[in-house]
Amino acid sequence: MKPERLQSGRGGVADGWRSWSAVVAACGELVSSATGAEDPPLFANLSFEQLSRIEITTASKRAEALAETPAAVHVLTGEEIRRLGATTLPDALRYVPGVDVAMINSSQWAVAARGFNGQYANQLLVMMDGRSIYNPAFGGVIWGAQDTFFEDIDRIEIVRGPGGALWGANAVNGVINILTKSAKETQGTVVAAGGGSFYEALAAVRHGFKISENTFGRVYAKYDQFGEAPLATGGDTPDAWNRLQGGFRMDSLPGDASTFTLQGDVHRVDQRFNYPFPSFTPPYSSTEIYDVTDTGANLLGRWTRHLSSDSVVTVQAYYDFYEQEGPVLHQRLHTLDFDVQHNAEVGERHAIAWGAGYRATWDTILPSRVMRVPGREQANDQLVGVFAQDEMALVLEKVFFTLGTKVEHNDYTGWEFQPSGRLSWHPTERQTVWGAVSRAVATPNHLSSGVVYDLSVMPPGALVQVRGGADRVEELLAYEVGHRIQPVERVSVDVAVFYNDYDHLLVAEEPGALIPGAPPVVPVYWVNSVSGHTCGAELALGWQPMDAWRLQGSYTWLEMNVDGASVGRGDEGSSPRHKFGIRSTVDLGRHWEWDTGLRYVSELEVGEVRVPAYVELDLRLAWKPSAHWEVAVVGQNLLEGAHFEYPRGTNPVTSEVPRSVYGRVSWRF
Amino acid sequence: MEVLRGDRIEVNSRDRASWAIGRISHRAFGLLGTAVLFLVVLATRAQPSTAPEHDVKAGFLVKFTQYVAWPSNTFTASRAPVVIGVLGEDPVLKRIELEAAGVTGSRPVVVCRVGTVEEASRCHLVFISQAESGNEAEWFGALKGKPILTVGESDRTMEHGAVMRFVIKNKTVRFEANLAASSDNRLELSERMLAVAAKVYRRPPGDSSP
Repeated sequence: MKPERLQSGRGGVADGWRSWSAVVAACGELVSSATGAEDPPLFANLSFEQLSRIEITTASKRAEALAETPAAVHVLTGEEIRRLGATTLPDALRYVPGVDVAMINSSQWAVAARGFNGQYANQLLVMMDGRSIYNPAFGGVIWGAQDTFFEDIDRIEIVRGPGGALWGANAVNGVINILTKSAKETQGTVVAAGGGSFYEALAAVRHGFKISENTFGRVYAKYDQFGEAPLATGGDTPDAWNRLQGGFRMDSLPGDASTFTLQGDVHRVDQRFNYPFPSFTPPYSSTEIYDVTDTGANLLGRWTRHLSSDSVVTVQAYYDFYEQEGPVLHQRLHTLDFDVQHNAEVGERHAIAWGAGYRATWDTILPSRVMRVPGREQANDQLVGVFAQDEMALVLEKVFFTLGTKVEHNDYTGWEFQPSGRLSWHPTERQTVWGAVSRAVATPNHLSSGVVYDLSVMPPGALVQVRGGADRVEELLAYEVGHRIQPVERVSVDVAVFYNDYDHLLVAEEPGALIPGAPPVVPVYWVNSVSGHTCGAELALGWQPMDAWRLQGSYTWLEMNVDGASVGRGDEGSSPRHKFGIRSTVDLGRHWEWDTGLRYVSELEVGEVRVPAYVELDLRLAWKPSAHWEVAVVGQNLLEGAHFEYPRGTNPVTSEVPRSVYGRVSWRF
Repeated sequence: MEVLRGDRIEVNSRDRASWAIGRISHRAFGLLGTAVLFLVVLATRAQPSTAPEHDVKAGFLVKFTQYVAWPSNTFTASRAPVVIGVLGEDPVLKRIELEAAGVTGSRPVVVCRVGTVEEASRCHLVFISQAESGNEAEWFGALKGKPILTVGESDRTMEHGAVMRFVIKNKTVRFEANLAASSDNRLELSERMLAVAAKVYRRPPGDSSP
């Protein structure tokens, strides 16, 4: 690509030594500026086409584009995450409307959107920089093993509601996309360290560097150590744990309107739990403490190219390895994924997106003390899909109709079709009204289709056993409407209302007839047998009374009308009926930050366990003496000594969330 | 509990172009060498793939002045500068200064901050940013009919009578042009520029016929 006009010097040939040396000097200037030694290149010297292909890096316009999306979207910026003082990813999601976050014990969480919360809530698709971190074996996210260098998170995009048309199966009730900054934006070194009463120790370092004129890289390593969650009955759960993670990211921005990214992480998590293993001698259950180790590694490459001012192609491939070794789950999972996507504007009225993907998973679940998959220890599954979407301008700039679908083939149920229709209307500037009807599915997986899980022993000696028999998809037909408005300059209001109609939900049925044998077995079949519906509303308010003070409030209401409990995923009472949160961030002068959060979660009834409603307060005070240093003190869950948030499966032992404080110092240079 | 050390992953490859400018004494070689040298240097001249929004807009604004024809009696001398006026304090202004300094061509480009409509009416290009868009209706209305290239970036810029408007599409800066407004202001917009526009309005906007 040649620039249209030269910055300096004269085009063409000059006679005479003086002219020649001027030319050489000009070349020298060009070369040195090309190698980044002097002033940045002038944009006015590029052609119009080149200018229109430069990707802008300011966040403000992104916020505007999101305001027009016909979906219930919430974005947590990196800045907001930093000021939350969150120590884990689920912690960062606590104030997001529509998302339930409950801490089960020190290292386990139940996170879901729009109902059906549970340790293995399977209707939320979670991705890290485009890589799915959803464990396909049992359908859910092992949150303790998912982490990244928090300072480098650019934003977390949360879309509540079905995302099947774009993201495929298992994006039934929401999609969470954790996005990190490019290596170009994270140059320099950051070192952080700290510790406290529950978040016992943390140490993290990141070094960003320039590899060449257009290529940037960073490497990071972090260590976190967490203490034991208190027990409701007194004492502590023996669940202290720690994790060690490291990774890198490289971004290359060569001069032809394409970008290439390569990133990878490795992690190791050491956890400890106690668990009531079934036993054939009285008292028929023996609670034992055991250790679990999680290890994982991943490598992802992504290439984006602007074909023209109106068209972009993205190609992505990743490999992910995960292993858990413990007496409950012993799993080894390899994932290989390829994706291609093309976004283009066609004419004045159409914005088209389409793509294709292929994913292969090799999942081995070795027999453990309580779980096995008879006849299918190894599952080699393939997933192939295509998607297409067209956003049509019915009335230019005012009314848009988006029609899209994803069509996928999976090894359990064959072809699945997930269409979505969305309408958006911008009656005035800064106002969007939208509605959507979508179908989404959650597919059977390695465990749900064939697991045999020894749950407990019914005296005097019958084994209660969960038997997985999922053989069809869980279906959702969702109807949503929303309204987003900025009535005055510093106030924003975002409302979303939905009605979800479910069919063939996976539930654990009432125990069946005794199967004679040695030992005799009382089976609990895990099958797609339940229908029901949920409805709810989510309200998010933003108000910035002054430049230095920002308030965000959210209220979520949910009504569930579904029968039957489900293993690892609760029923009607598993998600709160009301959830309320307020966040306040204040900049006191140029050196101090004071951030507060107050939240209320109404009561839950998970199976037979009742979880009372609670109110909690989080505080953060930070001192930034210079651009290089930050010292922060964070208090979490300050109102009560400890409170109960979610039970662990059928484990009668209930761990609680403690009041805790930690300090963190970070140095940037 | 034992903790094993994770592996540190480092990227070691370096990729730096290095160029040697040889000594050329012979004129023929000098001519050839110069040509080759320029071609080679042009090829390695890195075009940035990402940049801050206001830098890209500043580049566009300066380029606009080179692809617009003002009425023949607008400039008093052949080297009289093209004046860009920016409303308010905007990071774009500083960047335009930098861009303007590098302009080579028949007319130099200068930029200044304008505070009143009166001051703006003495410019050749007036830019009102999103932050100042509350003033658009008043300013663009008052400047209508004058030989001024008016540029805004709010949702209602075109309705307020501006000639051009910045829009962000797919995270890149694009622009729209209104031919009715440009002919009202007796400006001629180059076809070369219009070919790259995201949208060209041939009728006044707000006219809802497709």
